[in-house]
Amino acid sequence: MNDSRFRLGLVGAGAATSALHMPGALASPHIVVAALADPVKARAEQLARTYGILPKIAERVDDIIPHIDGALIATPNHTHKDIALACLTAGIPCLVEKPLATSVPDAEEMCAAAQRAGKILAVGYTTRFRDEVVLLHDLLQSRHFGAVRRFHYQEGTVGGWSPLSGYIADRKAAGGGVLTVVGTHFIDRMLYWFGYPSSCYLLDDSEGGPEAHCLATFAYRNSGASFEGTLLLSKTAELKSGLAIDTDRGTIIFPMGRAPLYFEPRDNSRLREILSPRGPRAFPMDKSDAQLEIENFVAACRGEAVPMVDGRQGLLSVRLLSELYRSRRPLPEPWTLSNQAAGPST
Amino acid sequence: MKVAIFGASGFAGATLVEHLLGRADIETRALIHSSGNAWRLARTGAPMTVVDVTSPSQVSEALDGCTHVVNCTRGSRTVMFDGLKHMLAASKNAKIRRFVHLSSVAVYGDPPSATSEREEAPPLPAPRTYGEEKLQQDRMVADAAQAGLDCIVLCLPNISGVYSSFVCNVLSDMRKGSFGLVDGGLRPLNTVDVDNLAYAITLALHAAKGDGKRIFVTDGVGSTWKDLADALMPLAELSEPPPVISERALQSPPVERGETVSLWRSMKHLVSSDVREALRRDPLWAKFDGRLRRFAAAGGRNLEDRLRESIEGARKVAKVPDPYPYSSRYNAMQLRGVWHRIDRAHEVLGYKPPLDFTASTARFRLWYETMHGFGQQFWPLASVLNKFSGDGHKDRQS
Repeated sequence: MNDSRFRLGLVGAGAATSALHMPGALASPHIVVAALADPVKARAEQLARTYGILPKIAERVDDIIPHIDGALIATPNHTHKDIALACLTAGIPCLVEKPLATSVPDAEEMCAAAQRAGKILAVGYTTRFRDEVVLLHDLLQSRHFGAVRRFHYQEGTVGGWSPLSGYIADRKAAGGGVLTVVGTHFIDRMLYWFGYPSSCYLLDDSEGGPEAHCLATFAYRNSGASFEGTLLLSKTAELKSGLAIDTDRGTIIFPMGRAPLYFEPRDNSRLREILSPRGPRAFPMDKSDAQLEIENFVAACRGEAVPMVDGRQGLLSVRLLSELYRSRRPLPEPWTLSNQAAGPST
Repeated sequence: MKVAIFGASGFAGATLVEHLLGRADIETRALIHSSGNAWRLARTGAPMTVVDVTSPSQVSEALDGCTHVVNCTRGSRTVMFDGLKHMLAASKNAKIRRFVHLSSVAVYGDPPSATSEREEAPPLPAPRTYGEEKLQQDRMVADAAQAGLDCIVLCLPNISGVYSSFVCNVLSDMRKGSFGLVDGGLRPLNTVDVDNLAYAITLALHAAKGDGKRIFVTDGVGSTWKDLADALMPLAELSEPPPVISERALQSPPVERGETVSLWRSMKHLVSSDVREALRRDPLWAKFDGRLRRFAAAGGRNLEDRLRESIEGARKVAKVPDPYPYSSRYNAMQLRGVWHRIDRAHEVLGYKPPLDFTASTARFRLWYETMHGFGQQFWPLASVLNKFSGDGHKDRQS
């Protein structure tokens, strides 16, 4: 065994670990999966068998701490804080699945613990590891397209990702609904591209449980800029996913996934440009997002890089989510029937 | 009444749960397959239980204390058949008073015969189709009814209304230009608004007696595909109605005949470059193949070419047909030229659809506008995304 490899501990042996983090870690020549922790030990054992590895397996995170150099925490959102605090207090750096925490005080406590320990706290926003995301940031900063007039992002599928614990159906465990589970990725990118908005509000369809559909509106009135942006998310309606930005020079279109950036100039309705960075890609296409994220975390732990999304940035996302939920108003549902079709009673 | 609803996170199941949630006289047990598809229910805060219908013990446990069962499940053949078998057996054991099952008009074939305006028409689905699977399910329910389980089978066309993927898909095809109106769109359209369906299920739970035979549940007769297209035109942002296409235009273009089966052809295929390329991934085969190629190359370019020609034959260029614009699957569906009548639903259940076609499509429009932001300030940008196709940058030939 190569002793210089980073000993990663995976905390949580659920669907995300199985489908994303484990293959991402195993694909990296710099990493060995040294330990797996899950309250359902059999689940961790099964995962190790599936991938043919022999890590230390435990039900409690405390029991794997002596065997690892860093922890990747992929557990239900409301458990992130306690697990991260246990690791950081023991001097173990953490990469925490998004969102960092389910409340601002929890996220602040995690950031403070990382600072006290002098250890890395990174947040798993995998969609940052794309050259086009960085390129768009740079082009917006340099006002390549002139001023931004409005942006709109939408993403919607009927149903989808189903974690083994089923925690996403539990508002408390997930910290929210579709905005938290799906929208937090865009919110992280939005903060990266446009900064923190001056104001925001949320319309959603929650009737006590996690919202399945929502529309968030953001106003930007900072340093000369004045525009609005919207975020439409659904788990009950199909929406063609992507970001469209209206600018002085035309419309930027950024579909989902690893698609290129497109630009349709205002002065030529027949032209569509594909924007791509010059030179070799910083984030090779043959590596998965998970591998890139874990390798960035490991490089940060070794002092060779900064985390793509650190705890402070993760905290900003949690703060904005919290502000949105505080501003929340019910989404009008004008189609709702009065009890006319309720049927007979017994 | 305590109702167990299997498939409660689906389109019909979730609507039914929403209908029943506010009722003091009915207790609901929402049974779901996984949390990933249960968002619509989860938002209400309604309790849900995850049940694998292919597990007899889980199904039996789920029915504990229930008096009525509604089966809204869909899924693989295992779910359709093993799941239903377990539900029927557990219902009988639990002395369930009413089992409501959802069937489909697809059991009458595609297109169905003119006699299928009534339920008694002989079911004639093509082999290995959804209709055949639903017919097999109907027979299982009829057998259970014969064995003493009180069953009602509601036989449904496409389900419309709010959240309807059927209507969303027609709308999407209208936008893409792949949807046409066959013979002017004047052929019968059978739909049941999902809220009418929930109402019918509620009636079925209360009906005096079930006989396990199919009962059509629709929004009534008279609506056509043109009516649907007209109702959706504003959402599709079309200034002209969809094009009229003839029944003949729906015929598939002639397909080139495949190669005939022969031992010689198979041998040639085995030594073709495609197969050899796959074999070369194995190091031993790669070595052997390399020697063979060097041997052929030693004979000169002509020998190599002649060998290749004799093995693979002359180069073939496949025909590239013009793209067929009317590819929507709802075009062929318009050939279902019969309205399924709801007289039996009225007789047995007392069913009269609370929502007519006009009310149903109006509600769908309201729902769609809200959920997609139609007409809102951001709609022009949403519309850019909805119409966007990034395929243009791909090379035509690789």
